[in-house]
Amino acid sequence: MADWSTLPAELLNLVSQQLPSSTDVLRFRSVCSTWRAAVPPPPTTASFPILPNSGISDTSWGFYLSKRTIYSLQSPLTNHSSWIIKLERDNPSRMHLLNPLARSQFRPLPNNFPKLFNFFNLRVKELGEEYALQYINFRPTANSIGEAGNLYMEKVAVSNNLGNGEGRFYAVDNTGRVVLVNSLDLNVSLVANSIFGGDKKFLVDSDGELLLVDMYLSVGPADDLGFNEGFEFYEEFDCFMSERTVKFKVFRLDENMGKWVELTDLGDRLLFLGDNCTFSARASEIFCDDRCRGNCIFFTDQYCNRDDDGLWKSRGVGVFDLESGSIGPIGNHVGYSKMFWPPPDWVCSTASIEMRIDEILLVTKVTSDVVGITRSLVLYRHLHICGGWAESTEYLTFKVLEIREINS
Amino acid sequence: MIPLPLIDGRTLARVITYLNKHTEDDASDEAKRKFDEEFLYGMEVGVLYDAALAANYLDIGGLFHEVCQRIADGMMNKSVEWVRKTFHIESEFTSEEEVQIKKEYAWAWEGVDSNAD
Repeated sequence: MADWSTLPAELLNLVSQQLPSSTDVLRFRSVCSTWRAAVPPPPTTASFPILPNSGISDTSWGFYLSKRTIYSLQSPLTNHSSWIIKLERDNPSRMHLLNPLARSQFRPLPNNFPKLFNFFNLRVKELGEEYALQYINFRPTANSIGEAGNLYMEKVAVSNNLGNGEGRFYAVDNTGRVVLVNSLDLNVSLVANSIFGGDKKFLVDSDGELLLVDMYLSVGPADDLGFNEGFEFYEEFDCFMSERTVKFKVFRLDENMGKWVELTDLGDRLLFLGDNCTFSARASEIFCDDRCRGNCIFFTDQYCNRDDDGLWKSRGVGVFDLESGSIGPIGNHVGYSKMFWPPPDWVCSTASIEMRIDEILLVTKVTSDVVGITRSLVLYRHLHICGGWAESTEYLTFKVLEIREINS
Repeated sequence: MIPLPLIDGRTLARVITYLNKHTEDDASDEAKRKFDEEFLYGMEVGVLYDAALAANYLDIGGLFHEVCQRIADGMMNKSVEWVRKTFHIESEFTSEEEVQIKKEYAWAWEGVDSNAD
């Protein structure tokens, strides 16, 4: 009978090196103690050195590269769609939850969001990585670390998974010409010729295949705002006459010919185009609703919002359906809009959890009720699924098995 | 005759099949890749175990890498419980160790306090 826990360390090590993400390595090390001993823990923070400011800017003391990882999280117990998040972990005790496609943070976090979130029981898949150049200012204020704009660098799509080994990455220019750069000797070789076409090009790694996404922009009034050429038109000119995305084309690479070939059907695939990253996923793995199918592209765009205060623009997420050609903000699609924000119910709430009485262990406050004998307890319910603690606001009747004082 | 006490006959036969295919003069890379796929992906867990140890013992680099890759592919994105069940592993961690391990899966957020920046 095979005893997998007694395999030699070099074999275990080789297996762990072939695992695609650090989350898989984390799980590998949790299986049993021999496996744990054979494989070192994955690094928790990207250890990029701080680049000193050498005459690039007057106000910056230096630059550093911030690494963010995009995850899809799913609760195995409930039949809900995945939650896609982007996590910045430069400081492991203070992580930031970012909008996967834009540069901003999701604020404020909901009140009952757990302070410590444990993904041991969740289905976690790493979808991609993002690297953002940040500057550090001389004056140490709260805003002294910020994102360096695109002034200092060209936009480059970096992909580690396209089977080309260490130190090489693809770069695309705005005509669609793609080169392979060897970062060791800076040798550049042409991979695909230009296609021109649209206005902005993106490279996406989709299941190991390199895809080119061509974004078409147009300037002009949006049809759905229903403007009439009157006073409002000129007042809100800026909003009406804005650049917006109208369509996309997708291409796959014909490696032999070095050409891009148009792909009109992505099948089950979803492509995500962020400001600093691109990634892809399969609709069948993300959604459990049949209405949400693949063959879509998610992107960011400026959207005009109208409310009582007037018209204002903000950066939002849009969806383009390759089959129908329809394009619009993600809020218009019931299934898709819940992918990023707000967090799904199972993250914060406890409603769907079956609790056994003896699992309620953590009691933090005991306050005497004015009336007399009964004591009211503030209970923190253990969020079974994600391992966090959230305050219990529901009325519970339970039998007290034991009251223990815990000093912590 | 060279006795190989650590490998049973069936596994050895499989290893030889692999070696034969890979040393064929007229086998293209494409054909070899196709063979590897069918050969390895058809293996059950117990057979993989024997193949891995055999490749290691006989020091057959190519097969060793392929088998490890196959094992890694099978485990990708699977939960810890699934791995333990599929590979018939009993976990002997103490409960303190389990707590320590689960800590590695913890994410601490900033901005959970409403007045944090």
